[in-house]
Amino acid sequence: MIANNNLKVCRTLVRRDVRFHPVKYILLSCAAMLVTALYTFVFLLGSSVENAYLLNYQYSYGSTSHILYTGLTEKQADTLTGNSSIKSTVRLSTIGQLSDPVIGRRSIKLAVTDRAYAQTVLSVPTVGTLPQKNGEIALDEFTMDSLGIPHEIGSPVSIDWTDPKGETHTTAFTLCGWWASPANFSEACAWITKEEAKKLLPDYDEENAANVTLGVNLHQPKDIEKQAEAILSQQGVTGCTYTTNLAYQDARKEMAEHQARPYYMPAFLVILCGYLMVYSIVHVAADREHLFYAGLKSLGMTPRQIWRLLLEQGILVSALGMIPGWALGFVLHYFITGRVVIGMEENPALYFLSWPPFAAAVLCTMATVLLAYFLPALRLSRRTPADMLNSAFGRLPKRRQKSDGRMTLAQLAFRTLGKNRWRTLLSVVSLLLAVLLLNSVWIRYISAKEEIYLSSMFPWDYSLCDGSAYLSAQQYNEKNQGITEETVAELKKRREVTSVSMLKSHEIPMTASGTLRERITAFYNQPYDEKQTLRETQAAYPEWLNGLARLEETGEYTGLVVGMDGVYLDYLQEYSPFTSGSFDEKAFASGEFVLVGGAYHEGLSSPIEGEEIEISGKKFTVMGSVMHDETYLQGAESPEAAFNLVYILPIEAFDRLFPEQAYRQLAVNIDKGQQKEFEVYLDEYEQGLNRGVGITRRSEYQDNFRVARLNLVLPDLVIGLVLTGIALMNFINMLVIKTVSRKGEFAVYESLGMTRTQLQKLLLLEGIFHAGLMLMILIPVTTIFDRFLMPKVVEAAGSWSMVYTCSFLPLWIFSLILGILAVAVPLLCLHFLTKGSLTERMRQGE
Amino acid sequence: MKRKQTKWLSAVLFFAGAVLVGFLFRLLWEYVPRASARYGILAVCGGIVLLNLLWSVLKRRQIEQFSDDICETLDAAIAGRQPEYFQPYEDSLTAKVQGKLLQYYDIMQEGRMQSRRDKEILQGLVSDISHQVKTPVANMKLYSGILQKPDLTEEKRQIFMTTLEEQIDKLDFLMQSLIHMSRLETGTFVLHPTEGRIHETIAQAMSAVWAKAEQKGIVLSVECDPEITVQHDPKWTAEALGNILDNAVKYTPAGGHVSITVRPWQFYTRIDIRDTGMGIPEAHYQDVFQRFYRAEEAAAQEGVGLGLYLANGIINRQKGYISVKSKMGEGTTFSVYLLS
Amino acid sequence: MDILTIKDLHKTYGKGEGAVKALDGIDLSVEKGKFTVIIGASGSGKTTLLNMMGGLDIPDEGEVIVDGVNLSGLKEKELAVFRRNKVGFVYQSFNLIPTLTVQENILFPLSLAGSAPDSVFFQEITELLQLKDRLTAYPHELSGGGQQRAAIARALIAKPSILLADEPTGNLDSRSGQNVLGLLKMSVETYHQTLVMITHNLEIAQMADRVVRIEDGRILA
Repeated sequence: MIANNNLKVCRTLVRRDVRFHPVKYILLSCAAMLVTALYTFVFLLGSSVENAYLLNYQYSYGSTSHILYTGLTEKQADTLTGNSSIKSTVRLSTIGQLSDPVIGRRSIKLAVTDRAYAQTVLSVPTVGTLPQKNGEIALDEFTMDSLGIPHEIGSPVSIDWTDPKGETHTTAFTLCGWWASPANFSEACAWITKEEAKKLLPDYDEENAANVTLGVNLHQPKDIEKQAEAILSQQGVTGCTYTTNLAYQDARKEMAEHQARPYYMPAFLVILCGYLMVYSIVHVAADREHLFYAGLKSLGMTPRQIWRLLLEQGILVSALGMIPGWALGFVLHYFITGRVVIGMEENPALYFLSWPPFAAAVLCTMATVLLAYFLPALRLSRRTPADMLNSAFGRLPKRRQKSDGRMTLAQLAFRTLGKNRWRTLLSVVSLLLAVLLLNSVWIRYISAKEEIYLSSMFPWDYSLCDGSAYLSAQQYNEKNQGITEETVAELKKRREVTSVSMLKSHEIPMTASGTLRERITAFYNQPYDEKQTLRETQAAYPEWLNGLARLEETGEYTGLVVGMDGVYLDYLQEYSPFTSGSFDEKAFASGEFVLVGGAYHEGLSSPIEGEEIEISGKKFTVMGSVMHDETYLQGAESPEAAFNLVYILPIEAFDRLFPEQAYRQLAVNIDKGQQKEFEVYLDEYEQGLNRGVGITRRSEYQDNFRVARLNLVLPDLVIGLVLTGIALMNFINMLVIKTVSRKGEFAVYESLGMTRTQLQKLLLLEGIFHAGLMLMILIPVTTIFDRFLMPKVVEAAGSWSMVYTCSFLPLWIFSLILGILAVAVPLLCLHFLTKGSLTERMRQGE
Repeated sequence: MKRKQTKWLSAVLFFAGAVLVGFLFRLLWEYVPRASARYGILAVCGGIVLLNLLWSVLKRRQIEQFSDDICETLDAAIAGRQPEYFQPYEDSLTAKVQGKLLQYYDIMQEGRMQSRRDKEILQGLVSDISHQVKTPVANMKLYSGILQKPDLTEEKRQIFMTTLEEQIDKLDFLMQSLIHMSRLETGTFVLHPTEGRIHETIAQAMSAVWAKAEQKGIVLSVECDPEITVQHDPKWTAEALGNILDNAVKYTPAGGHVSITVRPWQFYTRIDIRDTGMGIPEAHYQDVFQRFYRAEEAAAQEGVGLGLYLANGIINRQKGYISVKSKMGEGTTFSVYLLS
Repeated sequence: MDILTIKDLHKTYGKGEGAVKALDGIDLSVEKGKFTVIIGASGSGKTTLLNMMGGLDIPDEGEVIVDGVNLSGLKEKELAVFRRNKVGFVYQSFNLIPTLTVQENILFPLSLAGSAPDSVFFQEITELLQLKDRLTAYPHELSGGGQQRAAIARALIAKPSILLADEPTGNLDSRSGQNVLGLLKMSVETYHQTLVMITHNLEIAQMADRVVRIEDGRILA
């Protein structure tokens, strides 16, 4: 059937409604705007977090290309480029790889300057330039620090490198530029000019020289692995390898999505918020509305027309709030996302901006608003007009058996609690949600203990370390002289400094005695759990396994001798439990004794108390063995020392053994009151550095912790605040309606002889009862929630620095606000209501 | 104008469609390398076009259904039966048009019935008139025949002449009444209701029956506030009231009472004419206002049976009405309501 | 011909102790084109009966048959169409829509049906009800009587088969009341409509073709 064309009347009704009730529509658009803003914010935040993770994967992969083909000849590279799936390519020609052992696990390629490629791997020099003259080289900062090259243009650089045939060369260059890039963690390029490359390796660009790396970007980055294979087979190229960008792997994408999911969760809260808000505004005068719709139905409005009426209202409201909502959401996003997604140079809020979150926000808003309009109307549509008219007058209270007909003010006030039960319930629910959310946010916030974190992550105020040991992935270069004696002396002299602790380390080859070998072998052969032995748990670390094997077979191993004093010793005593022996300060200080560090696991895995050890010709007695917590050591050991035993001496004893060994790291504690002056000095020092010294400040860790703590709760906090606003608004709304709708009733009371004071008292009592009702529900539920649910939440967060602390602060604040509102609002309304003569008010009340 | 527009529109649509298809082919062949992709895209576009066609077929089907339903409704209306697919309370275009068509049919039907009724009335009128005229004419014929007899005494001639005159008067009276009645039926006379004092109209009505009442010894009394005004046409209302009074006097035995009371109510003014006559049985309350109705008891009396009928018609025309209440043997009250 | 037949109607409001039996077995038939008046004390069920006739409420038991269609078999949307096409209400409680002008209010049932108004008829009605110069006003600008007149115009505009009125002249002065009654009667006669009215006014009761008395939910013979 063709439906009747009678929908124009709905449009007219809506337009008139807007003209006559502009305030209601302004409020509604504000509500819609708020809802849109929240959705926009949540979606933008979620998508930023997800994209940040993907960017991270890209960084660790090292390149922005989708596929990297390595080991190609020029011709092969040309052939591949012709494939139809490929959007763009970048090319790199390498002549060899740096082979200085100090470089460690990183792979640095000696490559011909190519700006396009450099950009895809974020390896364009920020200081200086790419090499233009022969003999120039551009390096990344990690490599420079590992090699101990001063940060100065023109510094001499000596590189050991291996060419594709396997021959090693050593060449001297001059530094012409450098950069620091997070993409260069595991791989980097060292740029030289084409002529230089030709000079060093004359046949590097020969036909069959398979030293070209091709970076490929595809049209459709899906199933990258398959496409990589397909391209190779389609172009008929063999004999090369390829790697695919982590960021585009499906598994990684899923991981990123999974990690971003908690940031999308607040969307559900927003649905609830939005629904409550819009519902309470739209159905402000539910009675009058009932009458209105009953009237419309009696005149013959079909349900289809009523739906259309509601639909148009809903869409209008959503549309009004759309653009301001987007703007507000973006502002929230701009300020907050920057604090959640850390570690980026560009503002993440702008970097990850895209259009899908905005579109999704509008759709969700429309859905929420329409839900608020339609759900109540569902009930409406099936009832007859006369039925609706009757029910509009509400339920009457049950007749009490005992009442003798007389009323006190308190009883009157109590009666009003029963009116409009749904609205009261709505108020209670929204308040409850708000309180619970704020409480959970607050508890999580205060449960994160800064001291615990700092005391175990960074127990001293400042740490200076050699540039090659700055990052845990870098191998500490023992030969580096980054931290000089002058520096140490200067630090000690400064009046802000309370203590300077020093640490030096040196690797030496050692031989284990028979007993030691047996002991260690037995130790690592013990079972860890049902499935594995202790040894097998380290299966992911092949170098460590090799070291252990070497010990077991030949008895030879690398010993790490560490000289330390001051806070380092304290740290050792605190976090490294003794497996044999105990600490004797005097004995240790004498320099005859040594502490041995074994595996961080119960049992004896090293020389034990009383045994004799020979280090570099000198004999020491073992004072005790500890389970060595090595987190205080910065930088990584060399590959041979992957498996090692640690021998700890006082710094003086160490200096006697290895007098030329420079400092690995310093721990500096200062007088907190003079922090500013010291920071100034430190900044100057850092600026004046031309060689690698890494400075870490406690305040950095503090900031990190504070930021992390805030970020933990920030999204929920924002939602919680909004929800609170809505809940309070709801509460005020409920009070106002209950008072204003009884204008006529109050006039009747007054006409019967109730004095103004009695009326005020009545309203006061009503307010108190309402507040009491709210609190009666809020307090027990919140207590149960806090006592029983929150500890589990805190535990589940799984952070060792979080200790559950119970607090009801938000609840008290809430109660206070509720109390004040419950009393102030009705009285204020009364003041406005009792204007005008009695009869006028009684008549209007009808 | 609209027709021309639609023709142009369809031409433009067709042309644009052809251009787009050509463009699509060109693009596909130039830019899409893979054969499978080309055919795939073509298939999808073909699918979209097909869906569009199906959609327009559906729409056309709906319109055809609509037109069929309307035609069927008209057919049913012409044949005088209920249409087959008739859902009167469906909110669709079909139901709307059907409803209006049926409304029109009802009005036409009503009109037809009305004209049939009018015809019947006229027939009835004609037969009534011929019936009523028959007797006086027959009498007149008789008496004129008698009068033509040469050997009639002067005395007898006078008697017969008087009787003949009476019959002619009767005929005249009948004619007048019939003319009034026909005018009333066909609605050709015009009432001019104005706000006037009812007192005067009643006085006028009473003056017509005064003589007769006095003759019979019936007391006429009036209770009316002289200031009361009603919406009425004085001339015609006086006639109507006069007819009622005439009736009252006629059917009240000698020495009786006929009283007129005027009471103003909210919407209407009520004029009660009470007599102490023989009364009208309840079953005949409505009958008294019919044409040519005469009660059996009154058969002997003069009268045509049109008086009350005319009065009712006149009062009704003035948006008032007359009602009757009576007790057998005690009396009758006629209440005339006029807009105040 | 009977346009409206009611068979054994029962309706109870409320539950348990507070239950009120508004209609207790009502049988009624109304002839087409006649003016029927319903009289009864307050609480006797008059308004409920009128509601049933107009499809504004559903009975617990019994049938309401209008023009051959049983109302209990109709769904809500069909009842809505029934209400706007077949019935005209003049009620105390369902007032004008405050956001529409008087003219729009009067033409509302037609707008709901998507039909165009008969302008001649519209003019006639508005003149008779003295609303001609108040057409662009909003309801809150009219007096109580004016609103009532507008509601009556609204009830008549679609020329429904049945007119249901609940004290239509309650708020009106005598002049307007006369006009209203005259208009109702004329409408009934010209358009062959059926008029069922609840009133306390005996004058009006006198005018009716038939008077129905209700007491305690039952019709008095």
